[in-house]
Amino acid sequence: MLDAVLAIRAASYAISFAVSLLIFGYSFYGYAKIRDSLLAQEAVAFLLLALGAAFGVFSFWGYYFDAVGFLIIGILHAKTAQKLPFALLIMPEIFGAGIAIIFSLYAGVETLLFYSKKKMRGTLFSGIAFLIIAASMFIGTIPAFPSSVAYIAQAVGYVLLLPAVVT
Amino acid sequence: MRYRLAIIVDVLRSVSENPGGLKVSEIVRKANVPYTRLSEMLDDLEASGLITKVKGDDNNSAYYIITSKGTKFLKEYERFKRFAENMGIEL
Repeated sequence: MLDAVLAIRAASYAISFAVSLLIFGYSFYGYAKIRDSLLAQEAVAFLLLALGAAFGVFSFWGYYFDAVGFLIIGILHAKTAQKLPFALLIMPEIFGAGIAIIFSLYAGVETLLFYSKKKMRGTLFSGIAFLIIAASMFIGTIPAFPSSVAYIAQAVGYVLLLPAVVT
Repeated sequence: MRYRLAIIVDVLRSVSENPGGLKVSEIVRKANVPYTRLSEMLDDLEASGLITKVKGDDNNSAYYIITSKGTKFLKEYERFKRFAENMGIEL
């Protein structure tokens, strides 16, 4: 049973690492092509999430990379916010769970608000992805919850970010 | 407020929609950019190879046309604008 959980954990972090690295590369390539600073910030954020996944496999330091990564993503969304107060309303409930959870949740809500305006399928997937990643981190902090569920949710969340690159 | 990149894209779009070229006064109107700001921007875009200046038939008026590099830049912009919007961010 423990081996299965460890295998799911390793697969989850590997998927998170690979998707984050892909989005980092694509964002950086976009920045190199059109010199938009938002793409550069997106690249830095996903590089930190990739490092978070890499370090998260063997230490708690991964959360710190996640925290800064999602902080940057949160700031990015705040710059182009749709309805900032609404997105912030749901934050205090889980404030204690960590900065990474807060900002991934915030990014998810903001992205879904953005979807309500743009109606792009990729945006919908990204919004749901951020929320699932936030949920996975949140349930990962609850000792009574099976950790394999958190790892599977994390992997699903990162995979849902892929349509942003390919659509 | 429009960022510089958004203004550049508006200028390039205006010019690309008129294959015969646009005068500065026409770009001012179509891209909604003040003349003083546009003048400097056109010099930068020309130096970057995104647009080129050609003389009109009467040799007095100058027209700006988009280059293949400029067209490619616009395509790249649209591509990464879509990516950013997929991620919930507006460029």
